[in-house]
Amino acid sequence: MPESELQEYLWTASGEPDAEIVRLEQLLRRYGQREPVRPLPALVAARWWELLLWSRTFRVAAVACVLTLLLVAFGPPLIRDIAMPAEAWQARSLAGTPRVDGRPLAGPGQLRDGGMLETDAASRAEIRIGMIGRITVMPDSRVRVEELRRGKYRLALERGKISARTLAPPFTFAVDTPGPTAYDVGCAFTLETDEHGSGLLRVTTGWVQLELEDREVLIPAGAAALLRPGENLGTPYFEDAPEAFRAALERLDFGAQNEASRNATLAELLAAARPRDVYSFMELLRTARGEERRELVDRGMALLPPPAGVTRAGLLRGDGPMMHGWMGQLGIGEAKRWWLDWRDILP
Amino acid sequence: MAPDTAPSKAAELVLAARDGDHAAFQELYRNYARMVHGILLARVPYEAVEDLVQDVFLQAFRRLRGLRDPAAIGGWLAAIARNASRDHFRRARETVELTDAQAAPGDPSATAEAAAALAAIRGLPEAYRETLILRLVEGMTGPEISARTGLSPGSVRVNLHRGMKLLRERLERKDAHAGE
Repeated sequence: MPESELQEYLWTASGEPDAEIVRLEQLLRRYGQREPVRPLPALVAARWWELLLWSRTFRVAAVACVLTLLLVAFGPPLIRDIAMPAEAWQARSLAGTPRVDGRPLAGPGQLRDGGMLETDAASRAEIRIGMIGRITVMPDSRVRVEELRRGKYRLALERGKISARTLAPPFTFAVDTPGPTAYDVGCAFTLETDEHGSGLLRVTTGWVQLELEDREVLIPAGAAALLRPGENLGTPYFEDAPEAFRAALERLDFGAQNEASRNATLAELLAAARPRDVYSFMELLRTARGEERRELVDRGMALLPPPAGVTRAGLLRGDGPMMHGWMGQLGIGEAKRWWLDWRDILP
Repeated sequence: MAPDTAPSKAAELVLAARDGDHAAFQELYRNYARMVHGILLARVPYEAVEDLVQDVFLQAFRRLRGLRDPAAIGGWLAAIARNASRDHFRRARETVELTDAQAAPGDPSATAEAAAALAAIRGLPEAYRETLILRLVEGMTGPEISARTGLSPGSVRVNLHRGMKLLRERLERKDAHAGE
């Protein structure tokens, strides 16, 4: 038989058969796939849920459900925010009749750039700052919108008290007072002041930074700082600090004292301090000089021993990494600004 | 009737199976079961092949969404089958298996001869071994092997003829030894 015919049978299994190939086919047929092929019972019995997951109808339905849920959850505030012009915040009365730009605020209203919201002794209001948070304006308060654009929100508390809760990148939201400016570092806080700049900042969650001229202090949750007219910033203190400590701190920050009485006040402060109050020492050390600095470091180290590697000499010269290490002993976490100031200069 | 071997038809079945069409996947299974069976038989003992065929298709079913070109289903299934045979040997390294002669059905003397022929084919280089088993054991034609595995017709033709030539030589040598 010609080779080409043999090849043809091997290729197509038709035409003139090759005897040896036929014999092999007959011999080996027993090993072949049996017909009909065994069904895939496991596919039917155990994988139905995968079929369901893969079905286009199911996927489309699942995506539609998720989108509906998202729309129900976030749609209304989002639509409100989009519908609200960029130059306006929402304001509403919580009690009594607050006034916006001199007009009574009965229902929901808008507070525009430069706009003023005032409450009397019987009224309270809420301002919604875009998507980042809410401010409650307490009775007898006056706030003015100073800057209002997406990503940058600033208002002035001319007098009275506000309570703010925000969720935004640090320094997105700021509140000016007749004295210092409070910068939100991601937190909840209350701020009160009179027309002259006397007041109090209390932080309940997160951190707030107070700035006045070229000085700044960071106030952690549970702490407060006094506001007073003039050029000084109140040193932060924990609100559960002893009364003697708080009184001495106020005199150190704002009292007009001669050297002898300042030394006596410092001694009172050092004596009344607890380990946790070393945070106030750390803030005082930003400006303290000479003997005052040495006394703060020595008493601070006695109350709150620094970790290994942090030395007295390092703390006295204000070594950044050492100050940071010492602060870590307080266990109060780190403010983002603090992190930027100290942590990023670590070797 | 021979199953449809057109790549476009296979691609349609793959797309339908991806969308949860169970019947489409069963049709793919019917169309490609012989090919997968043959590829496995070229590597693993006969008695393990049928279960492995099912494993291969279940794996394929789970991973069907990962197949980029639906028309390449044949080559893709062949690759899964080759991997499955490697996994089988990793798992079964310490187990004792039946020989093909013990496992295959039929007359004992013919079965022994068949086992010897199968062993001779398995002794061939891999490319010839797989193609010859698809042709001689699974009864597929050259064009069918090409369409199913994704190999070019030329490659299949070469593999068949060179493989058959080599097989003939080995079987003749074996017969000569037996006759001495």
